[in-house]
Amino acid sequence: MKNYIAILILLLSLTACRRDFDKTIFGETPDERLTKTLDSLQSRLANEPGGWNGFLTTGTGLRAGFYFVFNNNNRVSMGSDIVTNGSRPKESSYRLKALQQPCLIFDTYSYLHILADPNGDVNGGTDGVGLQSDFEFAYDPSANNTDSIVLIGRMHNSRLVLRPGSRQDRNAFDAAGLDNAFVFDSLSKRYLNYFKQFVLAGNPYELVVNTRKKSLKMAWREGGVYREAMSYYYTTPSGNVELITPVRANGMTVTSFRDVQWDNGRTLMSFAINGQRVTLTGFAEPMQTDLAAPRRWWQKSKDGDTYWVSATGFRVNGVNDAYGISRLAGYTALMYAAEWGTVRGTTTDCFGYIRNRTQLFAPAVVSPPNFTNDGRAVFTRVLGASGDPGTFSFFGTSPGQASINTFFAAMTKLAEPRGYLFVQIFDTYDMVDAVDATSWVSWEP
Amino acid sequence: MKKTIVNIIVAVSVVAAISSCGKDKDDLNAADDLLGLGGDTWQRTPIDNWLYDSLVRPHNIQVKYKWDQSEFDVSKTLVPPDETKIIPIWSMLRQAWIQPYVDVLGLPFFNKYSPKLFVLSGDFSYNANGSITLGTAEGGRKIVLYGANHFLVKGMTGYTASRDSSFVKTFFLQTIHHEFGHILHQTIMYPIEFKRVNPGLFSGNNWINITDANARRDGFVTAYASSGYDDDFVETIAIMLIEGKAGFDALINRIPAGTSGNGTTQAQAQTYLRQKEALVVGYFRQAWNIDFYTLQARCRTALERFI
Repeated sequence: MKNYIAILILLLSLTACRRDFDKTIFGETPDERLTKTLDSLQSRLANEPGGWNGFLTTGTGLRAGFYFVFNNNNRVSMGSDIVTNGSRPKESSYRLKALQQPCLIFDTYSYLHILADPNGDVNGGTDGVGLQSDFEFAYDPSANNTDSIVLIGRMHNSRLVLRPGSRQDRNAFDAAGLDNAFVFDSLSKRYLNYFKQFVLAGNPYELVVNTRKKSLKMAWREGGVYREAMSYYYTTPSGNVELITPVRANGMTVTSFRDVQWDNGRTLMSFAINGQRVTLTGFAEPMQTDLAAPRRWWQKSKDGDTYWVSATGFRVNGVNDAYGISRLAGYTALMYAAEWGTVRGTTTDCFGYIRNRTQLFAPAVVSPPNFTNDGRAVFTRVLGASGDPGTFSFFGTSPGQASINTFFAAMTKLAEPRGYLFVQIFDTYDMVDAVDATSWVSWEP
Repeated sequence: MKKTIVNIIVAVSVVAAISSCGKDKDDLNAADDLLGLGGDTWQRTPIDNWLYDSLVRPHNIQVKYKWDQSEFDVSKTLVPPDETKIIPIWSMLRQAWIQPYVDVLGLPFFNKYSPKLFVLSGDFSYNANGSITLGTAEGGRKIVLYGANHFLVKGMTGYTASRDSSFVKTFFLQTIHHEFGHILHQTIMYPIEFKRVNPGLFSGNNWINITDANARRDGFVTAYASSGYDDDFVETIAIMLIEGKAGFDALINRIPAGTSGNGTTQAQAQTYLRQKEALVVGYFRQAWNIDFYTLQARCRTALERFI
């Protein structure tokens, strides 16, 4: 017995202190490494001569572009393409701090905070959480590279990607804030037709853009085969459009649309791709119709038991929100829902608007819409019990006769006999009239 | 022999085991490199200098306006305040809160009992039950004021008296008077008679479902006052200070005729409030040797410059 004890003690004494554990695994203490990480982040942020383009994705899926100029005195000058007056540079403070991770904190109110504000009146989000955005970001040095700095929000997991700007960006920002960045985003207001095309190296390309979601889709033919690609984008202060996902088409790679210009005289937008200037022209029909898109759109609402919304309403013949729906009292959003309820025993869809964030007024629409073989959806209104064309059935509560009258212009437009084509860009669908693509609604989930 | 060898081995092993861990002495200087030791630092701005000169030096009051998540409830979505609001808010509070107290109570008294840490949030704190929190206090030392970005007073662009005056009164001053009141009664308790004015009418946690107007019909200055004795006492102080003598009289006189839902008559409710007023005034006189009406007049006069 004693032998065993002796051997045990012997073994213990031989193995007891493995001195190499005494040193830190990484050769430096955690504090030394943290200090080094924060110092390098600080100098990288402040010493970038072209400032930083920022692309933020909030917890609600909203995408927003920012531009930052950091200095070494805890000050940051900022522009935002999404906030009212955000084009004007605004100065606030920031600091780097070691919390559980190295963190970049925008520590006084700025454009970034407007999205994160818990007050729904400030940003249109839900009271208590806002748009689920952040201003305190964790920095993971291992996930970053020379092209970008990736920051993850600590409260709502929003994602802010910083990419170095150019000298031109910095000069443009100092001179005019983000004014140039808005040129491309004015695209949807500039053209009568929804579909646009440009010709590059002899090949036509279609371009459709959702400026609210910062998403776009390019379509082209390659060896006679129809191809398309989608990307999110941000615009820089100098007016370039940078694609988050480069598009490869006909043997070339498109990473940005540079030097975007609007020619007021010719009413045309132009920009340069890989050094070649192209001009956008309006088209009344798509390069290729997405035949299944209308049903996909409808099915998504049905299966998810959710509804589609549009903040901006109908654009018709060059007029945004042509029927003035967004000016109705308490207006929150236009909506469409598949199989929302029943009218006189028949399941129906509905098309209406939400006011005061929770109240609904939505006339019934025949369910499902008529999906044609050539990729259109045709909507039909459900009349009132009497069958008189002047009557209607609706869900929710009446907003009053004046509002109903205003809304009915949109209802009539929805029931347009030729119906609508649908264009999907990521998770949004643009519903475009099938006559000449001069009116459309952009649906978001 | 074998036994001896075993013994020797054991002896050597024990010595080895005991001595083997003689590490080098810990280098205590390494602690100097701890990141963040000594608190957050940043380049001081004119705002920081103003706060230091106006609050830290004379009163040892610290105002935290730069974001520090650890000062807030981590489950709440909040934002830091806009820098442009910091000096206007504290300029107002210096005039409408600190100055009257210092004038009447004296600087040593004020510096001894005032809360020492104020934390600002840019917007409100939303609660699950749909209410919003305007201010919270911890241990008589720290006060968190929410909604700083909404701050507007007379003379600032966009100020609308009907919309913004109650905000300055209730969000900022009422909260601070309220918390200061807690500190006072936690130091010297208010007379037991205060708890006996209308004890059967308190509503506890149900206060959020009661309007201020209905609470007054039961003899409470606000709905929150009906949540408990201590809050009743400090709410009475706070409302008397922000409304002034005339405003408080008007508040009592506005209680409508008839009986409340709890069967309190108009005359009873008015009597309750008058009794509470007298007890508050008596408390300040006896416990602190302070003329409450002087403090009330100064607080109200100072406040009126801003609304």
